Amino acid sequence: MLEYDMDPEMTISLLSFQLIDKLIEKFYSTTFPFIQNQLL
Amino acid sequence: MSEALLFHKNLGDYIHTIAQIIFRGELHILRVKKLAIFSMYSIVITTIYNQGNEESNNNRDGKIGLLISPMKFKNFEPQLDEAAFKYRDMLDMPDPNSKDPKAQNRQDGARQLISLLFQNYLPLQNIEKWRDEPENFIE
Repeated sequence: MLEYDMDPEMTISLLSFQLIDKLIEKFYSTTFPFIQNQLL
Repeated sequence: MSEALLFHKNLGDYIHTIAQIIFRGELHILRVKKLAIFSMYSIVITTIYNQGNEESNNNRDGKIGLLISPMKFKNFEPQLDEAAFKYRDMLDMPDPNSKDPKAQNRQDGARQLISLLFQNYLPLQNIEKWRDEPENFIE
């Protein structure tokens, strides 16, 4: 997995998206309302 | 489990350091930042740090995998409890209604990380595309 993520084809934006996805999943009660209210 | 426990005493500092690497744009090359984001991702998904964060399942043994015996898990309970506390202290939101002052003063890191990731790596004009057409989000 690390080798794939460090590949030049893997952009930092996509890695960020994956991290955001997990942060929302693990800390849903605080992160999802933030996304809804502040960004979308 | 042993890898995760390597950081249990310094987990808070480790999370803080990784965040510094990710967002200090002038100091680190792209490859180092990608590695730091991957490291933060690994922390967030490490199940044993989340043991107190999933209210629906109180069976702790069920969260650490079938290959670890309950007895072995029992031997590491102090370390796991310390790691879980630091994980929640850094990433979870504060609870102003808690009687525990430590819970009232959590760092709210998950929300701050998302905010900084959007500010630094996900331009706001792309968010609508991301929501409607995720494939456009990939550069």
